[in-house]
Amino acid sequence: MQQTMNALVEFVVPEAKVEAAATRRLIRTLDRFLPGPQPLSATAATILNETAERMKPGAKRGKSASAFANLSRAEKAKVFEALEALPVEVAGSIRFLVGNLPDLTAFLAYSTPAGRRLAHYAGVAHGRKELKGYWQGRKAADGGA
Amino acid sequence: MRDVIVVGAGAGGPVVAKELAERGLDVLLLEAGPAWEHSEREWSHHEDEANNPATGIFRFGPGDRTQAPWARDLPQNCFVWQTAGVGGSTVHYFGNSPRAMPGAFAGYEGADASAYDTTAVASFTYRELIPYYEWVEHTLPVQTAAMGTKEEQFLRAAAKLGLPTQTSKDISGPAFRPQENAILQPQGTAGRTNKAKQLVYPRAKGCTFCGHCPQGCFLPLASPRNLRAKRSTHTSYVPMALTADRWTRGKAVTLVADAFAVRIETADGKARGITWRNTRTGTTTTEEAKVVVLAAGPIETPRLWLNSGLPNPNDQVGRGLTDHYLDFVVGRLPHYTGSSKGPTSAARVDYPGRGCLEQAGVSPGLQAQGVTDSDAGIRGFYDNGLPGGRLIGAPLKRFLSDVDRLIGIAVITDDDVAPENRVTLSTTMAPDVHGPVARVELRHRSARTLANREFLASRAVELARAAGAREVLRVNWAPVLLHMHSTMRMGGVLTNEAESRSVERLFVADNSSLPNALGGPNPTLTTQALATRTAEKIFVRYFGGDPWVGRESPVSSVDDTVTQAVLAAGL
Repeated sequence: MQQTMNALVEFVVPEAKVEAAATRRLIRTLDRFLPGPQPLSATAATILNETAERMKPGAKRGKSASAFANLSRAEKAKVFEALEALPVEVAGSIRFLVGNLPDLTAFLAYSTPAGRRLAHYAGVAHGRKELKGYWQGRKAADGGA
Repeated sequence: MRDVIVVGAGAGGPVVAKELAERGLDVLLLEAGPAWEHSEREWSHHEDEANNPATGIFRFGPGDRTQAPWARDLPQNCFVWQTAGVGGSTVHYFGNSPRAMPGAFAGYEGADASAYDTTAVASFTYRELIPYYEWVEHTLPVQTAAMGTKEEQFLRAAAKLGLPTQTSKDISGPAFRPQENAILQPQGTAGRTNKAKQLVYPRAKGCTFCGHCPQGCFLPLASPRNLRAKRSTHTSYVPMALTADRWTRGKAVTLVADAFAVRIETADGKARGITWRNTRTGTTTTEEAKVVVLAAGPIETPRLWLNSGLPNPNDQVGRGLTDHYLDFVVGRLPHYTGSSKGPTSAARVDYPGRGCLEQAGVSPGLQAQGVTDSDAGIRGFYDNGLPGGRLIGAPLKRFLSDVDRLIGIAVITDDDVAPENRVTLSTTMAPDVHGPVARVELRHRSARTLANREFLASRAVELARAAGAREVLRVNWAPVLLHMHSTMRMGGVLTNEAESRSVERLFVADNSSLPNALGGPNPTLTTQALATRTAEKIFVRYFGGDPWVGRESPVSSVDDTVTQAVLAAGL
C-alpha cells in the first residue's frame, strides 16, 4: 500500500522533496475519510494494483511489490483511463474515489512546505502589501434598481 | 416550548435566527459542527490544516477531528466543498455577494428573457426581493472590493475585450466590475504592509490582503469578532443573534453546537420540534417549538426531511439540484500577478442568460487541486472525448513553478434544474449514527447548461489571454459542489413563502429553497435576502407581527452598538 501511494504521489507530483510528506498525508487523509474494516488507502491501492495487473499481466513482478508502481507513466495514465471508463451505474463509488485521487494528491503535495517552495509561494501571512486602490476610484456601487 | 428552532448555522439559518431574535422571539439555533468560540486560536492559514476534506478544520464532520467526517454516497467523480460549524460554508467562502440575475425571477420582461430557464422560477419578482437585498447588504455589510494586482489585471483585460464596467448592484447586461464582497474594505495598515506586528487591530481594519479567505478569516489580529474582515455568519449574523438582548431590545438566541438534527417532530400535519444528537456525547435531545426552520444545506435538509418520514409529494424532495456546473481556467503570465494574495475573488464578469466569470486566486495546495480535477482525462495521455483535462507530472510542476504568475478564472454556469440531479437516501451505503446517509447523483446536463458552460469557458480563455497569459489551461472540472441549490425548491416542495406545502409551520431557509440557479451569480446573498423575507413571513403569519423590511432601518453588524454588545458578552 505504501509503495502504491508513493507511486501515485510520484505520478502526480514527481518531486523527491515532497514524496515522503505527501504520501504520509495521503494515507492519513484516505484512512480518516472513510473508516472501515479495511483502511481506504488499502482499498485505493488494491484498485490501482488490480487494474494495473489486468492491464499488464505480470506487472507485479518488478522493482516494487506494487503493480501500479512498476508501470511507466503512460501505463499509469491508462489505469486511470480504464477506471474512469467504468459505468457510473455499477462503479459510482470507485469513480468517486479514483476521480479524487489525483487532485487530492496534488492538494496535499502542494500544501507541504516543500510543495509551497516548488510553487515559489511567499508563505502564509497575516497580511500583504498588495492594495492597489479601487477600480475607477469607486468605493461603492450605485444603489438598487 | 421555543418560539422557533433553526437547524443549521450556515449562510441562511443565522439570518432567520438574528431577525426573529431582534423581534423578541425565543430562538434556538442548532449547529451540527463546532462552535469555534476562539476561532483566532482554532483556525489556521495552512491549507492542509484548514481545508483537508477528511482531517481539516473546515470539513463536513464533527467538531472532534479525531473522528471521521460524515459520510455521503457520491456515485460519480465529484468534490463537495462544505464546512460544518458555526458559520457553515461561509467560513471558507470568498465573501462574493452579487445579486442574482433579474431574468431568473418571475415577471422578467428584459430583451433577453428567452435566454433563461423559466420552467423553474419563484412566483415573486426580482423587484420584490430588492428591499431584502438592501437589508442584508447593510447588515453584513457588502462593500465594493478593493483591488490588488490580480484584480487590476483582470479588470483591465475585461475592458480590453470591450466589455463595459457595471456600476450598479443590479445586473442588466454583459459587464465587468469589482466584486460586491462581504469583506470590509482595508483601512489603516491593512493591505499596506507585510509586517504582522503592524497588522493588529485597530491599526489595521478590514481586509489585510492575506490571501486566506478559504482558510477562514480571523483578521485583523485582535479585532472584535464582529469586525473581522470577511463577513461569514460566524462574524456577522451569529454574534448579532447571540447579543440581540444587548444591541437591541430583542432576546438573545440560544446556540447549541455539536448538535446534529436527526428528526423533525410533527403532529397533526404541523411541525412540533426537533430531535438532535450531541456529536460528542451521543445523547439525544428533543425540544418543541411553534415553528421549525431547516437550514442544514441542500444535501442535509432533504436528508433530514426524508429521514423524518415527512411527505414527499410527487417525489420532489431532493430533486433538481443545481450546482453552476463550475469550471476553471488558469492562465500563466510572464510577470507578477499576486494570485495568492488579497481576497480570493474580487473581480467578476456577468453574462446574463449564460452565467458569470470570476477571478479566483488561491494558495498553492488549492491551486494544484484546481488544475488536477477534471472529467476530461489526463493531459498528454487521454481525454475522455472532452476538452481540458488534469495537469499532472512535470507539466504541473512547470505550470505551478510560480503561483504568483497565474491568473485563475472560475466559470459559473447558469445551469438548468434537472430532475435527474438529486439527493436521496442511500441504499448502498450503511446508515451512520444519524440515520441513512444522503446520496447525491448528478446524471444530466441540459443542452442549454452545456452551451452556457462552453460559452463561458471560451470567454474565460479570451480574458486570460487579454490579461497577458502566454499559456492558458481550461481544466473542465468534474462537478465541484460548492454552489448547491434548489433541492427543496420554492414553487415545488415549498410555497413561495418557503413553507412546506405538506407540513405547516415548517420552513426552509438555505440554498435548497432557491427555485433555480439564479442565473449564475454566487447564491449566498440571495439566500440571505430570502431568509430575511422568510423570517418576516414567519413573524407575520405565526406571531402576529408586522413586516419590517422597507419600514425600518437595519443595524449593521459592524455598528458600534454591536461591537460593544459583542465585547460585553465576551464573544
